[in-house]
Amino acid sequence: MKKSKLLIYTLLIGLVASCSKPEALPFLGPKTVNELGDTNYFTIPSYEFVNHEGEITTSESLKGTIYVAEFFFTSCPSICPVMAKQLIRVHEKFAHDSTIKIVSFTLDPEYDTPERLKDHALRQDIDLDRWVFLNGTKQKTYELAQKGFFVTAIEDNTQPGGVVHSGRVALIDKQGRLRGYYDATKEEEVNVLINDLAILRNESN
Amino acid sequence: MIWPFFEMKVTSLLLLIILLVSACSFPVNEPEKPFKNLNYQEGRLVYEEKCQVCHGKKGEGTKALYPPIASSDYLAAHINEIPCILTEGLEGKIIVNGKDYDTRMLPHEDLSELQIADLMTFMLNSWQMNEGNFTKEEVRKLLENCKE
Repeated sequence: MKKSKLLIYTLLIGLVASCSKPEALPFLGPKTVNELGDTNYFTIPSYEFVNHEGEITTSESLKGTIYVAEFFFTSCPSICPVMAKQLIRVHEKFAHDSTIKIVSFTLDPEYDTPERLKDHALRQDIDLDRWVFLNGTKQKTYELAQKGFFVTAIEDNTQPGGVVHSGRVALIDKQGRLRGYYDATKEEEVNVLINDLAILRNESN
Repeated sequence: MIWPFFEMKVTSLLLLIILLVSACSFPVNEPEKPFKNLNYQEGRLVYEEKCQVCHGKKGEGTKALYPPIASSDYLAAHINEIPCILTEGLEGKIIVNGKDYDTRMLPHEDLSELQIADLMTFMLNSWQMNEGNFTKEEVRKLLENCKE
């Protein structure tokens, strides 16, 4: 009897403690410390791509924006439709917040021209003020995926569409720092992403 | 003494009514044809694995991206081309039930003739379509017509 009471109290205290704990997201990727002892967190390397309007989008121009980075292609037959469905949930959730965006890089840049990317977006009723589609060379895109965002994207002609890629999306803060990874094919993980976006939005810097 | 007893009766009557109503409102989804032959059942599995993610669980398609399979006038008009569409993919704008679609479908080269036949049997005998069975021999013949 006493034991179970103790258990209930412990659970209650644990619950209250976990609720009132201030939420903060980690800084991911390799950190560096300078001679003054300050920690510099990893930031996504600079990049320059052509967007769905045929204009240049750079990592610099995305500073001040919190974004979810996704690698996909329009004729992807396997996981992309599932990812799209989940990311549209995120897109709709933050419909009135222009500081939160989704950035989709095509892994099939020869076929997915800016024009095609725009058509693909409009066919899904995507608001292009809050969702950017980017096209660059294959080499640049694959390199950025793997060495910039640490997301799997490998050319493989045995796979449908010639690409092996994961459903992993990265969360980038206003300073271009890596703050989280989520499997966008899973509803529960995308729920966490939505929650984390709200946390980042409340961050002061 | 009469009142509580009466109340109890009312309560149980109410409960009975609720039970009856809820039994009546049991989902009356039109039942899918419970059994067709084995090819149809196999075809359903192929559909679920290869097609459903884009074309939908009920063949309804997805937004303006992926066209419907259910009650598709395009499908009905191109039955003999389906094997080649599956193995070679489809590219360019098409009109399905009055709406245009322009997402490239990549080739499904891994499908066997039997799987294609089963898939056709499933797709063309579901969702108000009734085109009968397709055999792998028929599919093999149709595949000879593919370009290249």
